[in-house]
Amino acid sequence: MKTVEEIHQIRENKRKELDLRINTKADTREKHILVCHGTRMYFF
Amino acid sequence: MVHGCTSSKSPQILEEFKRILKEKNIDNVRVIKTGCFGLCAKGPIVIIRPEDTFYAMVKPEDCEEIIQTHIIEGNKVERLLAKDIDGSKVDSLDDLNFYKKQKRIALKNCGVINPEEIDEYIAFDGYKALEKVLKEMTPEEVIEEIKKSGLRGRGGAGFPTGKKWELTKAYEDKQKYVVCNADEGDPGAFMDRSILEGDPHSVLEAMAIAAFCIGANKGFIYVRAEYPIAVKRLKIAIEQARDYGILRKKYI
Repeated sequence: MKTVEEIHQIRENKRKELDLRINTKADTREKHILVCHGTRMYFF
Repeated sequence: MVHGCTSSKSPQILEEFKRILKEKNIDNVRVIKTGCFGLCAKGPIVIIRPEDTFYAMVKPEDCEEIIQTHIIEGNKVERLLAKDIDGSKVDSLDDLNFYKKQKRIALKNCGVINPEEIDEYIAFDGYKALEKVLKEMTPEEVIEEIKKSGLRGRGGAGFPTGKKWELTKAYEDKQKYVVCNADEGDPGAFMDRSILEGDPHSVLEAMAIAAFCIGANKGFIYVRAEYPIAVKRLKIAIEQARDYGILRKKYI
């Protein structure tokens, strides 16, 4: 269970951490390798 | 024949990246599982950010070269760069003609966030709209806003959402339900699957807002068994939203 304030805090902190996902000019030495993990046809 | 990323070994690619990074003791790189980018014909797709390099048709055996050449040496792996319809190589997702004219709204988080992490959804303003309507608006105001927005259903009828909510709100009953029909039967229609797999919390948030507007306190989602990833991620999302107290137990 999280309070509204705790959710606000998560949003603020996590948004900074994930800036490089949408900001190609993010000033960071960190990299995220995004691997598509979607779509598995039922019969495969 | 194109089978989609997971059918074409993307889980093995994910594990292979993790294994190599650990083996090489690289700690500034994270490997993230995302939902569908929307271009299954190029799968398995791997994108490296922040530079937004788009690698297509990646195989598990390519991971070593990507780590060595791209991550360690700072050069792109030319042979794996995605190709456009005219055969030219593209550097990033947005350079591809398929994406250039797109403005993603409903699918904006797909391929960006890990759909199994509620915090990543929250980071990109997830559950902010729900908080706003609960704190600052009446159901009538929300319905009016939805009507003004022109939002319509994503099925064949394209029924105006605000009108649907207005009619449902006006109907009086002791127990009302929000029913999300996530089934899609039209050949080649995958818009529901994409959002369920790539951004399941957005479906829950929208259902909660609809429930507030029409006076419902229970919800159901109809999703087909042929979409096992969608079913799994919805279950995870519901559990996480309940843990955070965003959805009350037995609400959905």
